[in-house]
Amino acid sequence: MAPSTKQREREDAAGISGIRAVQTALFLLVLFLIPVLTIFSPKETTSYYENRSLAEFPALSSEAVLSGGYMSALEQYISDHLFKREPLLRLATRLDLELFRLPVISDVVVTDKALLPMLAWDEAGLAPDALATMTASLAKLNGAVEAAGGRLLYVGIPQQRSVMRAAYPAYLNNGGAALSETEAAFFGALSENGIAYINMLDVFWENYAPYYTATDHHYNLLGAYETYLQIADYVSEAFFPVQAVGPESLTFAPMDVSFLGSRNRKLFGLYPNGDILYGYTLSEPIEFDRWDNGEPVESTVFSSWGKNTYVYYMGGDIGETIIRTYRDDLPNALVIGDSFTNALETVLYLSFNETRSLDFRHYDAQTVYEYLEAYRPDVVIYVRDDTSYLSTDGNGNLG
Amino acid sequence: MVFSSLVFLFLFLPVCLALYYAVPGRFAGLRNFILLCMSLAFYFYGEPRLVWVMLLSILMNYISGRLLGGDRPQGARRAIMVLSVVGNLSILFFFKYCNFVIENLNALGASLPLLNVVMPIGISFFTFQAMSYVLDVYRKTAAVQRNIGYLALYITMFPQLIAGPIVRYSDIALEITARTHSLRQFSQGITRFCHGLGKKVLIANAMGLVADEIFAASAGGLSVHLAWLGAISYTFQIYFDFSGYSDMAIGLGKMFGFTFLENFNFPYISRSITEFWRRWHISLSTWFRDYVYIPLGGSRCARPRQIFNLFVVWLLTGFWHGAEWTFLLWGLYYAALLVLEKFFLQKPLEKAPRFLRHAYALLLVIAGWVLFRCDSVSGALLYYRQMADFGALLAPDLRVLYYLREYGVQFVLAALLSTPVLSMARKFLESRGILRFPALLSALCVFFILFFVVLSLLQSSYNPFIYFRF
Repeated sequence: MAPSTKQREREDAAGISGIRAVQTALFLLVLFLIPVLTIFSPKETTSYYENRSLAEFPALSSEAVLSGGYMSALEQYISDHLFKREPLLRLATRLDLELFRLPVISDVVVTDKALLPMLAWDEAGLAPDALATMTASLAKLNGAVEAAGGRLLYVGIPQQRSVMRAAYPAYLNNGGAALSETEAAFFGALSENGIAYINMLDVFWENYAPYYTATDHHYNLLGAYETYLQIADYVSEAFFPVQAVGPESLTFAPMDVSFLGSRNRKLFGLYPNGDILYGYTLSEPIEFDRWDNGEPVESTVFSSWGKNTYVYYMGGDIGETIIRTYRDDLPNALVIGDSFTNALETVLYLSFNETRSLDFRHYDAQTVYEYLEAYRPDVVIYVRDDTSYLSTDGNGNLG
Repeated sequence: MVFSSLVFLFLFLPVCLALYYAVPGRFAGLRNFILLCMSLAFYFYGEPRLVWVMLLSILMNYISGRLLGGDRPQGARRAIMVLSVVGNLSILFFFKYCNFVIENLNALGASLPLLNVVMPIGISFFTFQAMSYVLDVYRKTAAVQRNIGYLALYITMFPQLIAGPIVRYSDIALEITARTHSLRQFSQGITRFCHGLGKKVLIANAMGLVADEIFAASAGGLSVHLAWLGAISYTFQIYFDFSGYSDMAIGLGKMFGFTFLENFNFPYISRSITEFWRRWHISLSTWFRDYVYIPLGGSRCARPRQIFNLFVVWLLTGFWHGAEWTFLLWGLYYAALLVLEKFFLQKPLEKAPRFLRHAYALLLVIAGWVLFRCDSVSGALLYYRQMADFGALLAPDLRVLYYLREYGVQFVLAALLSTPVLSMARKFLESRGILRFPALLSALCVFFILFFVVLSLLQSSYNPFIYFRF
């Protein structure tokens, strides 16, 4: 027999009040359980995938409270340490990547071919003032290097987004026009000022695939090795003889872990790719000693801990690194630059007696001019990526 | 502190609920005391240095109310009311409008120094609430509140403190002293709060990102496509931001046993500007209607006087939103439209096809939001020029494609939820017996929204509330 209307209404009412009770209980459970679990869960100090330190619990002071700084810091702390934060963020990224298929996630442009940086629509093109400033700065450096008895070689390396600019969707700015305009004007200015340079875009442009990965903004070790060969050729032709270690003496070997490129790291490594991180072995090893920031360290150019990222090369960014091979008949080199020098240094030392590397983002004991005066290298190799040619930040600011 | 923040969701709200409900229902006064303390803490968290302004406002209006409640001649009562209104408006003027006046006097040749003042959060809202109390007591439509704690609770109650709705004292006077709590009401509050949270975090914030980028780029030149997309995005942002906040306030109110009046009723489905203002920010428009328009004579006077009244009300409405010429012009824009509709367009509009009336209202509203959103009148004029560049319609702007791909889900949700289509669909499906367990579905939706809100809050620190500046 079918239930009467009143009976059905009563049943509905009973069901609804049951649902209400469950809804309320679950809501309160979420509201109370998450803070409790957050308080009692172990606290991380860094976020690996975000590549940053997590907020510390703010210190209470009347000044911090009255300025509102305490509240901001508290919010940051809660956001950074919420229970299961990382799995939740990973899930959110997976949803964006696979369900919503967003073209841009966490400022990373996701394409079938590569992960690329999101660029502003109104990204500035050539800045004449910045060009003049940088040219003057490099001319000054060139003079100082020569005064110290050495030669300066500027090496321009295209970033991954530069060689893969065609991979951008048509509806996004690929920055190509601005890069090309700056590149042409910049290397023209170097020529006019008699500064020796290599523009690696000329080498990589036609066939970049072997030298870059889909998910990292650097070149790979093969790209660094190609750059090393170009440097050795140039130095031999223009400055003094240098013997490069050729492919017959060096065997590249892929690492047995999957590579986590810098852009994929922002996506929790969820972007599917076939990127490979390479190491190499020499048929005739060259003995050397190494110092980082004045302290002796293990004699290796490969990191023992960052085996799945670009940090594998030289162990990441270090203020000052010295590699001595004790071959006094070879020249001494000083390398200045950002992380692009890391992979390069793993092979560059093969051709020099001593190779020193400075990263002025992390080194402030001396200015470059004081260092040159004291060290007097035979060659200074100044490495910049093509998005930083005119930048006076970090290693672009040589004083 | 904003409702759509992890600190509110997982610290303030659970602590507040725990303390409130730890007190047995028979100790209503203690519950009110806890709610007052938590409301003051809520305000202090966001405005630690200027909490005294709100306390001053409470004290001033409490004294005014007490004085008005005595057995005094009408002239004295009127004087007290006027003094109180002047006092409230003076505080508002000092913090919100003083520098605007000085800047404009300086533009006319004066050389007055700007004051070093910061506008307290929510001052427009709590000042208007406080004034409504004094005015209601003066009109004898509300009884004097002798308990300063209760009056303070009315003015400071955190659900509606910083972004409304503007709750009238007479609407909740009884609930302050005697209100009921039920599972039904609490559960409805949860649902409403989560709906508002979703509107704010999942839709308004995304629309805000689009609008902010496009409006920021407008000085450098926009295509007609992008200009319209920016205007539409902002139209969605302001609705979902503000109505989302109102939903959260209403929901939180229910959790603590209060019933706040609705503040929005699908304004973008309006078929005239007059109808739009019956559906948009209802608590503000009714406040001005009851405390300004009607006392000025309302519609029961000669046409010129009616027009004057409308312009006064809308000038004040615009000015209430901010001390900028754009807000003043925005108010006057609506005054002009309402006058036109009232005296000239009413009949033609009634005869026009329905879709045309919708389009008419929506286009004018969008145009109004452009003026509201731009930082200057010249910026707004430039933006309008870009929106009117119809000659360039055939030259596609690929950036529009990016925004639609990146925020397509949010645009679709925004368009759908701006209309009552979902509730209509639900009713239809229920009536046909297709939707068997609507309450269960609704409950599931709540947790679905809450889950995505937490994901979104973790993902992004972009979380500004538009209405904080008012």
